[in-house]
Amino acid sequence: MSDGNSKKKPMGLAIIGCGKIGRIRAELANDYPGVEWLGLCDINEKVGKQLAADTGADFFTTDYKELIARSEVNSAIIATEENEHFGPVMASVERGHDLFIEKPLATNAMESAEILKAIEGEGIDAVVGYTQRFRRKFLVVKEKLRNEALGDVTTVTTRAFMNRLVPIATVEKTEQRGKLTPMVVSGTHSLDICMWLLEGKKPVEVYARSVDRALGASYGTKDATTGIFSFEDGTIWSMSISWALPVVWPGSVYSLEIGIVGTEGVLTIDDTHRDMVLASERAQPAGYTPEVTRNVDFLTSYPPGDIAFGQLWGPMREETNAWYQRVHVGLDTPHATAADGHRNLMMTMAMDLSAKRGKAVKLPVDPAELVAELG
Amino acid sequence: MSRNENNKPIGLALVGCGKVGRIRGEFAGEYPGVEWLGLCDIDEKTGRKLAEDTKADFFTTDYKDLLARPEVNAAIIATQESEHVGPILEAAGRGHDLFIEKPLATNARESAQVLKAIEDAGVDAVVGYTNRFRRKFLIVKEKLRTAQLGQITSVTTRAFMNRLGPIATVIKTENRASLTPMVVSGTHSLDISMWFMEGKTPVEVYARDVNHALGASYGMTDATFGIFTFDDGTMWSMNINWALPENWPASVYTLEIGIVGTDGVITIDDTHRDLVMAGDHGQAAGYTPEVKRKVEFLGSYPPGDIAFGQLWGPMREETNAWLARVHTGLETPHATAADGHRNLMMTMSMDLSAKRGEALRLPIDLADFEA
Repeated sequence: MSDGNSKKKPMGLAIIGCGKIGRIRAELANDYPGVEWLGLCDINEKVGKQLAADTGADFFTTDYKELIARSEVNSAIIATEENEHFGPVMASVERGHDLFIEKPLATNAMESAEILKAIEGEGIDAVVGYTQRFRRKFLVVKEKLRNEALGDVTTVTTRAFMNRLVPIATVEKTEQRGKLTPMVVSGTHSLDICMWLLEGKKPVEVYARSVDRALGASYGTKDATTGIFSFEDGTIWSMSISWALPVVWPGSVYSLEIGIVGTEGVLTIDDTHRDMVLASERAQPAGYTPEVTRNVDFLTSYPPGDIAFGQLWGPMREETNAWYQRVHVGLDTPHATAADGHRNLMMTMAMDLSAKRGKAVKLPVDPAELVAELG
Repeated sequence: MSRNENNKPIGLALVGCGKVGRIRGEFAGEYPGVEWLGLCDIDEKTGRKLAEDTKADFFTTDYKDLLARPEVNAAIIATQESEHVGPILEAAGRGHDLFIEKPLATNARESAQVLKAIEDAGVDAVVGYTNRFRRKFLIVKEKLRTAQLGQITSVTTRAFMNRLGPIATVIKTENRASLTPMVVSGTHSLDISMWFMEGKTPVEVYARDVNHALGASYGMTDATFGIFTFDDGTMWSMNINWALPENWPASVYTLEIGIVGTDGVITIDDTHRDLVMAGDHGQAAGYTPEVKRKVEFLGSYPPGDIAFGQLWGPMREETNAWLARVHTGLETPHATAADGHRNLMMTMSMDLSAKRGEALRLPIDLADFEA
């Protein structure tokens, strides 16, 4: 029941996908008072039923259409595998549900455009899971830039370094490895943060290069992509990612460095996690691949957060609870919108396209062109 | 006299007695292998003062006069950047060992001409890329040289500089457009990065630049970002912005480098944020000691720091190592004249790519730089 404030919207929440991320969000939903009805769906009945039991869910099914059509539902989290977002998103849009979609909107540029068009056509409030926006570190930077503390931003450099454990775990789940590029899968998070910080600037060209020496032969994915975006106001942005760092690199998942220079100031961000170093004879589990253990670890490099006292603490907690508030009480939140999500996919794919062609690409790129050339 | 008869007694000509000439001159004065020291500067007062301080054997305002002296067999060329060519050609023609402050020359054709003269004369000539003499970069070079990362596949370099540096540089000249961030300052990061990637040949560059902060007031570029591609597919993202605000705590240079190989990674934090001083007594800033700031990352002035009246840091190591190279034949990691020429070509190629707005195949023909 609502607490009496008529502006509050009692939530009937559908969570489609009960894997690692679906579980985190469902557990938080269970603890959020505005969620008055919770329904879950997973194609794996055992996994889904277990989560339903753990969260005291009101309903479980293996058919997302059945869940989304339930009369109690007015909002949905789409946390299925990356390739399986399209169906549940479109079904939710049709019914007018508020949406939280794990990134990406779709793995295919044309489907992503189609989803965005449907969301905008129906006037749905849809956000995408770019969790890093909910870190204090990036929020304070956003606030400084929003208030023009640096004057006009002229250059940005971004360097994402990732442990190869992540791409190896990612590609092992699928045969469609060519599409799982460092920019599309992981660089998109750094790109989202930077484009958020550069809000209002429009990219007009990208030139990029890729290399695949370390992961190419064994895993069929690229090691690294580096690119330069030019914006219509002359701003330049150097965006580089390598996700082929050796397994023993102490950051088990993501490390990031960003430098932003404006006409009147500069801001540098060290998010390499070298501020916390654990070394022990007792090997520690590594981020997405807890079965791999290492003796030296930069703590806190796992992007969603860390488990302490049986709960997740970190940006995914903030992000999830902030979205519940957005739906329930209409709170203004910094979530990435569906339009941001689509733009991120287009820009990451444009880097891959430029690297493939070996020449600069004018932006925006037609989604059909991306599908035709990148597959 | 030296303990080892094979050692070559040095008769050293120091051409240019400014800030850097003075540092090198003082070390030379204290180096036992230097048996004769002659100085030259067009500013007689400055030169004579250094001659006195170093107890030099000879002083003149005419470099030809100095380089022709029979005692001379080695020379340091520390004149203004645009005045290197004359003394280099003169010294090379006489077969002197050479230490040349970077760059070899300020334009591509003269740089090529200087390199050819050096190679034709067969003289041992090195260029002042001082940062190679930092323990930090030497240990990384050693790891890479012994292939501890496997094969290098990607490198990222980010140089962030306080705008105090370029402003001090341009105020000295009217020829501002040629003083670009890559040619003047980025060349140091480029040299280190190319040294790390020794043996790889760059085949393409794409670069962009921006001039919103320093363009209007000083006629200069703020920043240049580029991507080099090598013949083996290696890619290198090279970025410099030298328009950081005056109160950025590092008064001169900060650098971050990441090197990923097939079997390993090295990250280098050379931002100097490991030493932070904050106090109400304003501290002198690097090349512009008249500017005082209250928050300072110590150690960002590339040559080194003065303590107890002496310079401690890489320029000390570099100078003494070169004197040892000449005197005892010590093998040293100095940049060669060929390295120096390559560095100029690569920095200028970034500027040319940014100017044309397109990727360029490397190497570039000298005529393209002039056109």
